[in-house]
Amino acid sequence: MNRFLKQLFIESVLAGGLLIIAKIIGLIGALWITQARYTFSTDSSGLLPILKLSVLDLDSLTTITSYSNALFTAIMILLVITVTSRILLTRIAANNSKIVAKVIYYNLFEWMEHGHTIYPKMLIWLVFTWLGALLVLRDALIGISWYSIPIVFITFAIVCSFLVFLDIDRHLQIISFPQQRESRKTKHSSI
Amino acid sequence: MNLAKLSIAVSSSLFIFGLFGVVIGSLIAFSILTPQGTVDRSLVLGATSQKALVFSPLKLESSIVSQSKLSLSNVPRGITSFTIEFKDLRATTYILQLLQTHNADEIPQSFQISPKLSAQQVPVSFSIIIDGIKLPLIQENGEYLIPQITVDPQSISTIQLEIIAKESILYPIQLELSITQ
Repeated sequence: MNRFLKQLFIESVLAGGLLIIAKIIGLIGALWITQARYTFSTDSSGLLPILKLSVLDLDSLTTITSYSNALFTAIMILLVITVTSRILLTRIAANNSKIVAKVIYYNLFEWMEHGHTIYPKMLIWLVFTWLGALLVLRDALIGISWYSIPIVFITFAIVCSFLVFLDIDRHLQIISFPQQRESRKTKHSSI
Repeated sequence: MNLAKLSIAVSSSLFIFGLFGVVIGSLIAFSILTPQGTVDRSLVLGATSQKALVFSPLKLESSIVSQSKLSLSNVPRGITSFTIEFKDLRATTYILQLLQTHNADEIPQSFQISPKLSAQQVPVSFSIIIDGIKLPLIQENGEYLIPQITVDPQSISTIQLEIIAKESILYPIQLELSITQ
């Protein structure tokens, strides 16, 4: 349990850091595309002084936020697909010796996930996918971003959730019915 | 044995708190990275005009103002325009807080306000009031005036807009004020 939590924490730091980096890249990209004028100012009205990015032209605020969120969504989807491909490769290779042979041939062994990192990675990335989707949805709801971006992100998050639950369900069945597995084994041995 | 269990419990709690910390930290970082519209417009005006005299528009909270817009023209630099749309003007006198001037320089600074109304022959007169002095902008007969204002060194003054309507106007009218330094 402790090892699982530790792994969960490590993965969350990684995913959180990448989420912020994705947002920064999205923002820089959006400002570069729109060539908008902006200022950085320090807002010390709260508990801690924070750096605030203000767009000078209010009319272009929606465009900048939308571009930034679109780039952020694209980066997050790519990251999740990367993580999923590693997990998928591990899952496929576990039941297929030919795939294992190919993995070794193409030197992709490092690309595969280790057994104890699969579930923490899966859960954390699912949580951060939903977090990203909801943050993008929040921007759309307050009227500073286009609605098409959260629609794409939420659809992707739903697909990811479905895949994760499918994987967990498959493994729960393997764990939960040892008697069936035993009976299956004895059937095979009798044949 | 108990000590081992305790240490596991403590480390587990730390990991869980850390996990929440990371999620909340990401949320805060995302919010900070979301750009905002400028609130402190004086910063914008000062940065654009590169002059010691800076104008800060004040929040127009009045039932007669349907929308207001501030715009900066790049060419020529230093001209600031305020467009205010009025609706449902009754036959009465209104006074609105329009903007504040900040003269950070050690010498007096001057500026001109030129008005423009979207409709002609409107039975309304517009004036500005600065430091208690009333300066007409648009007279009842439709005559436009361009007052020149000089503000004291290192001073802050509030400019008010006085609207005197002789009769009710039910259609929207737009007033554009261009400030030239």
